[in-house]
Amino acid sequence: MVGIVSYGAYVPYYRLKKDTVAQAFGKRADKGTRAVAYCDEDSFTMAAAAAMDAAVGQDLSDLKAVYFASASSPYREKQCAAEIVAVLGAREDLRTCDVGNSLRAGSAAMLSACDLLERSGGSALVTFSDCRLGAADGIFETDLGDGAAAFRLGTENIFARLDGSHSLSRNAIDQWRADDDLFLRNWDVRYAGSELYSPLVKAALKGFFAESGSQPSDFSKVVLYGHDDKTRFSVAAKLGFAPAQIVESMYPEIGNTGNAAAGLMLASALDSARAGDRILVITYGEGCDVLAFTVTDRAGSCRSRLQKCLARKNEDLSYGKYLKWKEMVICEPQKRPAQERSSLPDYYRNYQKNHHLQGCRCKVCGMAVFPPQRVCVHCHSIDTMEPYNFLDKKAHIRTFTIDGLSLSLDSPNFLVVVEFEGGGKMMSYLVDCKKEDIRVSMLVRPSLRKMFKANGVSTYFWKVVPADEEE
Amino acid sequence: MGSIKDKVSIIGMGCSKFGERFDASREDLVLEAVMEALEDSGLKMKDIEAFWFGSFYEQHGTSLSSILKPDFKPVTRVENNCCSGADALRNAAFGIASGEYDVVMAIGLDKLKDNGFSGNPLFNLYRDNTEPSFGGPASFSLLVPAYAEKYNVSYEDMREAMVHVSYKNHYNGALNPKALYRKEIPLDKIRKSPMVCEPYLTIMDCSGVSDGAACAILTSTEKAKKFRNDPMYIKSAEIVASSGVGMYETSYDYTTILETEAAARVAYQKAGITNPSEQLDLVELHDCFSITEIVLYEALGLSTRGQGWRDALEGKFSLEGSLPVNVDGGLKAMGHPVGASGIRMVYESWLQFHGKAGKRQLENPRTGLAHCLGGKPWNNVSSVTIVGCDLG
Repeated sequence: MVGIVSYGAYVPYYRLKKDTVAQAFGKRADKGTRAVAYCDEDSFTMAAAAAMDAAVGQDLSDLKAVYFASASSPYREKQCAAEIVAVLGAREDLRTCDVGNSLRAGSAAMLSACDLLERSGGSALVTFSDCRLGAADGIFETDLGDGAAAFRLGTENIFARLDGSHSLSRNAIDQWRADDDLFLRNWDVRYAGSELYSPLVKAALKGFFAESGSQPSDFSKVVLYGHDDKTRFSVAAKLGFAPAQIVESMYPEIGNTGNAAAGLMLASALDSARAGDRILVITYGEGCDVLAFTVTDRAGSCRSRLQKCLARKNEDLSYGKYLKWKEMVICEPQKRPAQERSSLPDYYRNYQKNHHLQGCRCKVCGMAVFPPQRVCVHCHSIDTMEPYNFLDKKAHIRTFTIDGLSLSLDSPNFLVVVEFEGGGKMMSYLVDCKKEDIRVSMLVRPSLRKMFKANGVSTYFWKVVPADEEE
Repeated sequence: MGSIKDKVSIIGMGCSKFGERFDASREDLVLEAVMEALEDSGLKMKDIEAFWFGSFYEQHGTSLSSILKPDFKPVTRVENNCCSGADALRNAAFGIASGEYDVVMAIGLDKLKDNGFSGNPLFNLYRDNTEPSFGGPASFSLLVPAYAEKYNVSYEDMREAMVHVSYKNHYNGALNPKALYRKEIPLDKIRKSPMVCEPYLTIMDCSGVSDGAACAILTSTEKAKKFRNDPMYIKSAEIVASSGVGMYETSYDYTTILETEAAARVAYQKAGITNPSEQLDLVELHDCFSITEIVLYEALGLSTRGQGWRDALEGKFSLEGSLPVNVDGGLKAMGHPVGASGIRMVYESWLQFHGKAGKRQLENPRTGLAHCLGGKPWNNVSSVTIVGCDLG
């Protein structure tokens, strides 16, 4: 028996109002918002955040595989799944795989993980993440969104059991992005809806129902991916589903998050699931994957950060900033020397510090220190250090400044000194916070971000974000 | 522990005009300072037996020798961040105190304005670059919220104290023909200056950036009388590097400079100073930002803890105050050609002791202090150099 053991979600803090974009182009106001990854976030950082959410309180010692599924990986060549393993501090004798190029990457990865676990037992982590770009003043600019979801699959302590699945492949092209395209392209949506999406979903479900002997009314919740809500609901009705069965897409708030869309809908369905609920998941992209789950009596034992992410948001994002963060306008460089690339040997030497915010603690005097070092600052002992994890420590701001001078894609930088409870401190950037809310002593937690990109390499490290007392 | 107190004398000094010296090359700046010092001491280039060359951005000793062409003499390039000039002077003094040389030169130089950036350039150390990237204004502005919180100083009082520090140093700079900025700035203009690091630090809280060079010629006190009857005596030349406490321990609270406290403690002890406010007649300190100056009043023992901001408002350190600080205008009005500043600060005592300070001349000063700080408030190198015109 294989199923979902735990799960996590991540939606970035910023929202771009469709109205803001309409105004920039002198067009009529439109309702709704979309989630926007901050200039230091990408599909990998969001996947890592969702993976960490799914891993909260979990023992990862039986992990057999980690997948990163995305149609918008930050790299053409360089795997992200291995980096997620490092961030989780998980064992390394496991399988890693990036799955890309399709909106079915997430479900394909999940099915592949389930097949592996059927054979090997243990658990696997699958992340669904996307950060796709639409050209300015186009439909995708406002309809796409950024986000990620993660699922830990396993053979024990199952939260939602996988009952069965069915897949269909059809080389139908309605959305695409060529090797040298920055922006997503598509064909006329009426053709795509009536000639591709509708018949393919129908055919896949027909196959699934025939194989499983189930019918639409057996499912309390249906996660149905579609490019937009109108098409989703019209096809759902044709297939015999009642609107109440269809899980809300969240598109009007966060936009269509690509691979993350079905993942976030599933996380949302699981957040409110009761034991015995049957959930159907349908993904679409060059065919369809259909997956059916039954929620076990562990319902309620796990909850993602999804609702927190939806509630904690900033809708004041200007269109100019959006364009700058997405590097869609050429801005005048600041009058500072250009950012130097990271030394990869040094980044690799500091593996545990960089990926896992690991510091050290002196075994002689107990002083906790970040970053790790060999001579104790307190008792001056040499080589008496043991690894010490700062990721799970409460952290507060000791002092701060709002630095309008240093290099940044989003000047000013909120530069802070973060002190950890139990000792140790680091200089960091506070992000996802309004400047008038910054206070000495405010509670923060680490968040993995892209410090900068130089020489084609994204340097990932930990910044801090405001935290709740309960975290 | 030994001491070089009164063993080494300065017998000539020179200082270029500090400023945006688009008119002058590095060679011009060096020669401007060196020729003044040689003329002042009556010595020739061939009399100098060894050179200590303090610079943050110059690369080698040969950067200096290619300009001065000393006849196969030793040139040691000294880099110690913003203390590079102070450390060049200190090592030159040791060269004399050791008995190895009779006459040596310490010289500081940096040329910053040719790079096309604002602020100071950064070094690439081939690190993983995961630390936040920020400059001096951000790092020193971190002192303000911590100081205001600890001593319960209101936002308005804190800002006003910082405004007064900038006002004072510009006022002094206006009296110094070698300053980068030679204009008094009205208080209200300083108050209304734009923020660069909110919520406290404005552009007028930042020191200037300039090109410049300064130099000193040293000999033993024993031999000094041979050159002139009014030499200046080195009382102590201390330099202290970070212990790591400010960087790694949460006990450091961002309201002081630990390295400066430590350097001052030793320097005062060796120079026989027990009450700096009484025994010092002028202080040149590292006012890279107005908040730094306030915190340094306390770290150097010139103000009691938590009172630095009040002393700044009450004018204790103005030209007419009980202890004038940054008489020449400080980094604020002189700018900060990094390697030159430490020697420039000692040059002010030299002028003051010889009655050559013009409109800013103090009345009969006998003892002066020069303080430099290189790095960040929590991780730096600090120097304290004390000079006097009396022996003992």
